[in-house]
Amino acid sequence: MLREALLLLRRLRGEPRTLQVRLFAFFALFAASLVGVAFLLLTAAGVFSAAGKSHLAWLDNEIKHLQNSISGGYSELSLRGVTLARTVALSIGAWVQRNGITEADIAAHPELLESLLSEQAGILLTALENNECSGAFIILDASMDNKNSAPKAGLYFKRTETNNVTSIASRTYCLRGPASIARANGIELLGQWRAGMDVNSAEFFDRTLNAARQSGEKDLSRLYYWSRRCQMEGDSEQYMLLCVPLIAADNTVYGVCGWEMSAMMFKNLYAPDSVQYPRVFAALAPFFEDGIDTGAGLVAGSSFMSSRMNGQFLAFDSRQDMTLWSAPDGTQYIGRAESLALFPSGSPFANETWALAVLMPMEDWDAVVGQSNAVFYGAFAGLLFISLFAAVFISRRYIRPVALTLQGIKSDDRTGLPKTQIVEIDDLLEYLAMQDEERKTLNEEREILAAELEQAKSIVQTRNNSIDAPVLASFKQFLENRQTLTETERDVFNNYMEGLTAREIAEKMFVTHRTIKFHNKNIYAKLGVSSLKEMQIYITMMKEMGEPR
Amino acid sequence: MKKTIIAILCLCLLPLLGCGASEPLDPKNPVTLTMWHNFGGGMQQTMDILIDEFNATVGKERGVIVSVEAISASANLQEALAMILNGDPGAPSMPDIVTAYPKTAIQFKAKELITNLDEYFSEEELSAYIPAFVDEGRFGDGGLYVFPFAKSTELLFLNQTLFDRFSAATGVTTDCFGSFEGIADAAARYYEWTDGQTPDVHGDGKQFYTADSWVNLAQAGMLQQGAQLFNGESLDLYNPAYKHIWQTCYTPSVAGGFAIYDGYSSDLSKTGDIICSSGSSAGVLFYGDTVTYPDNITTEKVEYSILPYPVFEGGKPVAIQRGNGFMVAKSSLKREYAAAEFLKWFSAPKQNIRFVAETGYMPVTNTAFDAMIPQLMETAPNPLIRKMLEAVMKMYANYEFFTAPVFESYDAIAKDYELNYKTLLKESQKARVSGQDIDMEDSLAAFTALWMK
Repeated sequence: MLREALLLLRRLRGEPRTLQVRLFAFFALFAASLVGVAFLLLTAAGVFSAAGKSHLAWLDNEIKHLQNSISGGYSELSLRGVTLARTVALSIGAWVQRNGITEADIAAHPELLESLLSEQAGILLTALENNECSGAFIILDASMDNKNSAPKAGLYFKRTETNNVTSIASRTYCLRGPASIARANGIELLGQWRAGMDVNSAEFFDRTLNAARQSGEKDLSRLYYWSRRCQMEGDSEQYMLLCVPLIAADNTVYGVCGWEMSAMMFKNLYAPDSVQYPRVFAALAPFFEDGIDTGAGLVAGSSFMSSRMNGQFLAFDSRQDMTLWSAPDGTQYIGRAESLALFPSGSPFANETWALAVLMPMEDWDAVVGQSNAVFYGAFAGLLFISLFAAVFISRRYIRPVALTLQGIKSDDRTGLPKTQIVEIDDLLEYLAMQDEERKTLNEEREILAAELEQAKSIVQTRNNSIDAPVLASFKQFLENRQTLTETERDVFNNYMEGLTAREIAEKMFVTHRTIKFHNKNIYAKLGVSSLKEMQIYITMMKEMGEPR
Repeated sequence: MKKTIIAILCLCLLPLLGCGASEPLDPKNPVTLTMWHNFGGGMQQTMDILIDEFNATVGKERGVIVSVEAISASANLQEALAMILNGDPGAPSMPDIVTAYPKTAIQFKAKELITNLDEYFSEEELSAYIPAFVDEGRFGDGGLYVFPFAKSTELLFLNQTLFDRFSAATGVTTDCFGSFEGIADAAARYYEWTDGQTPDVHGDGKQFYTADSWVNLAQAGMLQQGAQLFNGESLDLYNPAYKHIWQTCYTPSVAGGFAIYDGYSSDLSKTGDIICSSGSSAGVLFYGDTVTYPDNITTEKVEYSILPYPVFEGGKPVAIQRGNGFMVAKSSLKREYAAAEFLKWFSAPKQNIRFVAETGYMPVTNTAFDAMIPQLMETAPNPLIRKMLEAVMKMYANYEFFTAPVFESYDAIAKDYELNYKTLLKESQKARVSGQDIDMEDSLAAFTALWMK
C-alpha cells in the first residue's frame, strides 16, 4: 500500500494537477502545518517530557519510601538485636555463675555447652517470634569438640514461612544446634540441619568478634554488624545476618547472636510497587566506586528472586537524572541509587557503604514512558487524520460546482446549467447566457442583412439594367433628402452605410437599441423610405454610383 | 484521484493499524500472577530457579510474571485457604496459583472460586500427561480443577550402614523389610540388641522404625488386606484387617522398637535414633548422608537404601499415591490464561524432570516418566534420588496405588487419627514403664471408642 501511495505521489509530481488536487494539497498542507505547530508548541512546553517526569517522580517517591522503610526496619532489628545480645549475655552470665566457672572458661568446658545453649533456647525462640526476621541465632566462640577448627556451638532457629501473607501460620525449624534442644522445644530439624556451626569461612562471625575485641568500643549499639549476603554450609537459602557480640560483664566476648533477614523475607517486605512497572526491583547492596554489588546484597521484586541477581551492576551512563546500569549478563537497567547507612557513626564498620537502588530493565522503562506519550502521539495522529479527511471532503465539496460548471460550459447547451449559489459563477453563467443570446441575435440579423443585401443587389442589378426615369428621380430625391437629416441621424445613416447592424450601431454610439430604432423611424420618414430594406437598396445604389456620404 | 485519496488515507492510518489482536497476553503489559506453594527447605531453591527462569524466558516473551508470595507447609497453606474459603475477616487475597490437594480444591470448586483448566488445555496437550494423574484433579462435572505437576508415593528409607551393623550381629536380613510384620519382629530384635549393649542400663534400647503418617499406613494396610479404612466419611476400625494392623504395630510401639514421634522420621534418622522409616518419596532430601550422635560431636557418614513400601503378610502390594497440584483462581481471562501458560511450561517434560531430579517427586508427563526417568536413574547427581527413583519404578511395575479419599472432613479426621493414635500409644508406653499391664485389645477398644464420641 505504501508503495502504491509513493507511486501515486511520484506521478502527481510530474502531471498537471486538477483543481481539486491543488485544493486538497493546500488544505492538507495547512492542516498539517497547524498540527505540526501545535506539536512543536506542546513539545516546547514540555508536555511530552511530562510523562517521563511523572515516572521520575514515582521513582523518587518509591526510593524514598523504601529508603525509610528499609532504614527503619533494619535499625529496629539492629536495636532489638542489641537488646537480645544484652539479654543473652546476662543469661549466660547467670549460667556461668551457677556452674561455678568464669566467663573466660566457657570454651574450656565443652561438656557444659548443651546445657548453656538449652537455657538460651527459650530466649531465642521468643525473640524470633517477636521480631520481623526470618531466623535467630546464637553462636558461641566455643566448640563442643574442644578443637579450634571444629564447628562452633550454637543455636539457629528459622521460620521458613516468612510470608507477607500474615494469615498463614509461621512454623519454626532448627537449622543448627543440638537436636535434643530442638526436640525439647517441639521444633523440627530442617533437612539441612547440623549440630554445630561451621563458621570457618563466615566473615560475619570473625568480623563481629574481632571488632568487639579490638575496637575498645563497648557500646553494643556501635558494635553490631550486618553481613553481606551469605549462606550457612549446606543451607539452600541466602540471607543477610545481623551479628551482635555477646559481651560479658568482664568484657569477655562469648560469641555473637542476631537475626537473619532471608532473601525471601526481604523480597516480601521491601519489593517496590510493581503495578505500573512489573519488573521493577529494589536492591540493598554494598556500594563501590563504579556500581553496586547485588551479589553481596538482597534483592526485592515481583519477578526477581535472588538467584538471578548475582554479580555487580556497573553504572555506565545517566539519563534524565537517572543512572543506567549494566548487569553482568549484559542486560541494561535504569533507575536510581541512594546511599543507605546500615551502621551508626562510631561503628568500626561505618566506612562500609551500602546503597539502595530501585531499578528496572531499560526496555520496561522505555515501554512505560513511551506508552504514556502514546496517548499524545495517538491524539496528534488522529487530528492529522481528521484534518486530511476534512481536506479531502472540503476540497471535493468546494470544487464540485466549479467542476460541474466547467464541464457544462464545454457542452453545447449551457442553458440547463443549474444555479450554484456562488455569486461569481452565477454571474459568469448569466454573462455567458447573455453572450449566447446576443450572438444568436447578431447571427439572425446578419442572416437577414445578407439576404436583404442579396435582394438589394439583385434589384440594383435589375434596375441598372433597366433603370427608368422615375427610379432615378426617387434616388435623386433620396439623395437630396439626406440633407434634412440631423447630425445624429446622419451618424446612424453613415453607420448603416458601413454595413453595421442596428445593435452594432447602438453599441458604437453608446445608445440603446431602442434609440436606434427611434432614429430609424425619423430617418425613414425624412428619406422617403418605408423600411430599412428600402433604405439599404438606396445605400447600395449610392455605393455603386460612387455617391459620397 | 480516488486512488490518491485512498493511498493518503492509508498512509495516515498505518500507525493505527496492528491493534485488536486476539492474544490475551501482551509482553509490553505483563500480568503478574501471585503464587503460593509448599516447596520450602531444600526444594525452595529449585522452585526459585525454575520460576526465575520462566519469568526471564517464556514469561517475558508472553507477558507473564509469576511472583511467589508464600512458601509454607501444606497444612499452613490449608489454614489460609480455609480462611479465604470461609470469607473470614482478615483472610488474605486468593492467589492466582496455589498448590492444593483435591480434597481442598473440591471445596473451592463448590464455591466457584477456581477455574476449570480444561478451558485452557487442548485434548492433545492433556494427552501428554499420565491419565491417572490428570483424572485425580477432575471433579464431578468432569472438569479439571487440580493440575498435576509432581506425584509421590511412600517408600521405606533404610539406614543401611546402621542396619548392616545390626544385621551382622543378629543375622536379621533385609528380607524383614518386605512386610510390616517383618519390620515389627526386627524392631523387637533391634530394641533388645541395643538394650543389651548397655547391660548396666535396662530399657535403653533404641527404636527401629517409624512412619511419617500412621493414617496412610492404616489406609494402605487395609487395602493390602482387601479392606478399606474409610467407610464413607467414617473409619472402619472394627474391621479384622484393622485389628491386624493394630496388633502388628502396637507391641513394638509400646514395648520399644517403633518410634512414636511428632515430627518427621528424617529428624530421627539424622541422629541415628531409628534404622528405617516409611515416608514420602518427596522427603528423600531430608535424610542427608550423615548421622550426628547425641554428643553433638560424633558424626558418621552413612548410606541409605530406599525400598518399596512394605506389605502386610498375605496382602497385595498397595501404596498411596500422593502429590498435590496447582489450582488456579477464577479471575479474568487474561490471568487464567497466563496461569495456564505457566502450568504448561512448568509441567513440560524438560522442566518436570528437572524438578524431579532435585526434589524427589515423580514426573507427570508420559515422556518424562517413560523416557527420562530411566535416564535420570543413571544420571541424577544425588545418589538418594537415584535410589528413590529405582524403588518407585519398581513399585509402579508391581504395586497398585490409591489416593486419599476426597471429602471435606478428610483432613480433620486424618489429623485426629494421628493425634489420637500417638497419644494413646505414648500413654501406653508410660503405663508400661510404670509397670502397668497393658492389653492390646483394651487399647484398640479405647482407640475405637475415641471415634464414637
